[in-house]
Amino acid sequence: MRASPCFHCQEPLPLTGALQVSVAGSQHEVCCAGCRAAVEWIHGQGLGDYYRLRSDGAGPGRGVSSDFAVFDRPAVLRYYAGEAVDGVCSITLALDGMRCAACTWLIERALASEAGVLRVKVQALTQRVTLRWRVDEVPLSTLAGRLAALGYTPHLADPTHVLDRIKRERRESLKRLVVAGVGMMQAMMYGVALYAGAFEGMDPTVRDFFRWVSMAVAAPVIFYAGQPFFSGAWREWQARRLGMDTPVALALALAFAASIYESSRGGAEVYFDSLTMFVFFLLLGRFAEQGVRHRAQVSLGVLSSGLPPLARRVEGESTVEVATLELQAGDLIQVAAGCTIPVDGELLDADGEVDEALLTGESRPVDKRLGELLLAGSVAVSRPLRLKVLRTGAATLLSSLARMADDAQSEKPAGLIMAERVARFFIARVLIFTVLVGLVWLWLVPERAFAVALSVLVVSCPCALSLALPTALAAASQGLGRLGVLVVRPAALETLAQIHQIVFDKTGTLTDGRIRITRTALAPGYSTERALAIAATLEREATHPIARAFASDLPLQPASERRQIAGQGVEAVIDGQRYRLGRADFALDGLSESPSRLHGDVHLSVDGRAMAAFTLEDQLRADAVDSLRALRASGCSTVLLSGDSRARVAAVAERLGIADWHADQPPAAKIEVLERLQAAHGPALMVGDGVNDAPVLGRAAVSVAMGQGADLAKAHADLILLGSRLNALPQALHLARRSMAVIRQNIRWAYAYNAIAIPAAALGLVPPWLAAIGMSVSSIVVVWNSMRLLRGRRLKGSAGTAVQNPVVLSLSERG
Amino acid sequence: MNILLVLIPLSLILVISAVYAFFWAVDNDQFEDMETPALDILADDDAPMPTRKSEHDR
Repeated sequence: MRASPCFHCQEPLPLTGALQVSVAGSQHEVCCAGCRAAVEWIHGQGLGDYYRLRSDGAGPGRGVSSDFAVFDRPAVLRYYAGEAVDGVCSITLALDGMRCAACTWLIERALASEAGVLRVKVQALTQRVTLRWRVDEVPLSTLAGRLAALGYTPHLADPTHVLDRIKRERRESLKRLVVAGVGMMQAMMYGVALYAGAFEGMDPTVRDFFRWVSMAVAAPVIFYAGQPFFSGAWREWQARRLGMDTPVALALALAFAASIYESSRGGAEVYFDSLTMFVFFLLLGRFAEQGVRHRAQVSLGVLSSGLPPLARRVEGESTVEVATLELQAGDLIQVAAGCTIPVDGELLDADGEVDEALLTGESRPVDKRLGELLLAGSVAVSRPLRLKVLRTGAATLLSSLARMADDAQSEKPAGLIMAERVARFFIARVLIFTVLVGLVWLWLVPERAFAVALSVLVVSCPCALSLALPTALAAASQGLGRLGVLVVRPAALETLAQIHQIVFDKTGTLTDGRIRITRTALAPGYSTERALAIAATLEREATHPIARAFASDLPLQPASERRQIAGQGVEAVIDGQRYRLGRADFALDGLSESPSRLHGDVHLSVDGRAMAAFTLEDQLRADAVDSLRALRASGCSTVLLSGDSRARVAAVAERLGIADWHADQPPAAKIEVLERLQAAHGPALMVGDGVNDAPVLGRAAVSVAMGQGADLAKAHADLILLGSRLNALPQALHLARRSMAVIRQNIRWAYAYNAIAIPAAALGLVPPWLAAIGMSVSSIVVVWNSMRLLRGRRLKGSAGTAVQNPVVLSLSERG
Repeated sequence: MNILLVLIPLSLILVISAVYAFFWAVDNDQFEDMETPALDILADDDAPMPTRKSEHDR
């Protein structure tokens, strides 16, 4: 029984083939050659401290690869790195896989030790690294390869204004928060003196002095720190829509004006201390929520909504990988099935299917005909597409949409909008109620009317109510982030808590997607090389996990009329003959019962005649068994829904203890099964990773995509499992249930508080200072209650317990 | 009580300078990374910081 995960990446060790690495006199187990290389390199560089300092695993090492050649292209460098000065360039790369502070430490040292690197600065907040290096001494691709080898895959990051905005917003709110905090402390001190003076007797001149000093301290808090509330209220007023900012701004303005008036005439009561406290706690709540929002925005999972940095340009018979920004209007490009279209362009194929979910929200693929406009950000669904470039970069419709969305988002935190729905009906009633109470008091006891009305306004400020949801969701998102789950749509957490059935896709989800060919059966007259070369050509641009099994060094052949049919297979014409590779009924089209049929999982046919069949080997994820057991223990039923053949699905289902499994399901049938399940047993969660899962993911109440999955799957997902760790799922479910419980507690508390406080204030029993304290305390209770969700750390045990014996599925079609 | 007339303005000056110092720190990237600097001190220094060295080489 292996107890420990991989020494480098902390992923569960594979069931077979774990490697040993010996450094600094001790033996460690690692999961793959990439991680072993990473460990050895890190120790060789004297950076072994990394393993002591870090608090979480690294991304898996991938071995030094040469995949980054495109980084060295002059056009790419010019665009991303600017012109070289004295041979020195500077570039900012986005990094995948940064999980803890030690990553920053390791990356800075690892890159600094490369010759030709002058400066390395990692920004942990935005997951970016900024490099200054000598272009002639070391190519960028080498540095990128080094990062990838350590487990941090670099990506070309558009010098986008989103990051600048995030940085600016964060700085502004930090400053506001500190001004409010310092102002609050000062105002409270003067407040204590004033209250003491009120009880013990105080000279009116001294009292007035304290009041004016309080005002001097409160003014910047109101007008600088509290400025977002006034601008928010102004926007709400312009939109004729009652939000949370309106009563806040109203209370601030009224109380501040009244306090100045009272001070000037030596009146009974000033509220400067209450005001500053009010502003500080409101800002504190917003700051916490903003932090979560920013983290989600910079993480790559969400940025993948941007355009791919690389594209395939058609040059004669072949295609060349180029940077998207090198493309110019008029170029011809090819987009592989399942990949995002990088530019706005005109379709050159007779017809094609694209998914425009990112742009229109329509989850069904849209048919496009020759010459129709394809939009950047849509995804080629069933087959590779050729298009003529019309608009690139900032000129694309997506970019203009993104700019609009950015602007909208910078004005309004997303989480608050939902909360406002809850609070809005409340706010209108409170405002009316306040006026009524004020009028009644004006009639009965005119000199107390203002203080009572103010108390009602402050005490009933729907802060607790509006904080109930966003703080809990923010804390839960952050807790989930620590588990390695990226929350794309926070609202999904609410549904996640109600989930009692979980539907899995098999390939790439329960199995690790690394598929190998173990046996090749041939029809007479063909050679293994020939069959593999054809298969490799067919699968070259396919995105199904099986395609990777066929990737080889054999020479590829020119092919035309490529088509990828989700859940069926691929086809193309090579040398005038139509080849099909995929499921038996697809490749052999009606010949499935013919005696010529070969034995295997994936069939290759030429013009409808069987040519070869490949037997594939598929490995379960190391944490699949434990995760499923944990999910069942938490009361969820598990369903396996796969497009794969019966025998293989049955074997996986049996091994994982899944009773309810459906094999041979094309996407349309998967949707049907899913909807039947949802109709019968309530909302279901669907986990998938492939292009063919995207439509099903769109239909599931909650959808989860694997971090290594296709863009299309991720675009439809509510949650993304970042490390592709399945064992995060039961924990995420548990956390979601807890967060819903917390939200219910919060809302109950807020209502209970208001039910007691508002009548009390209306009866004049609550002076404004007590109202402010009451409001703040009720909000703090809510925030504190939500913060409990942050303690959602990864359970050590479940990452470490691997299964004892290898689960290698090597099955033929007939089992 | 007249001492208050000196002490309170003095405290205000201190508060203003503290806020000013904080603003300066925020604007100079002091709050960009709150975690890594804490680790630097824990790392052994037998491997010299190559960043500085290569900067010196120039």
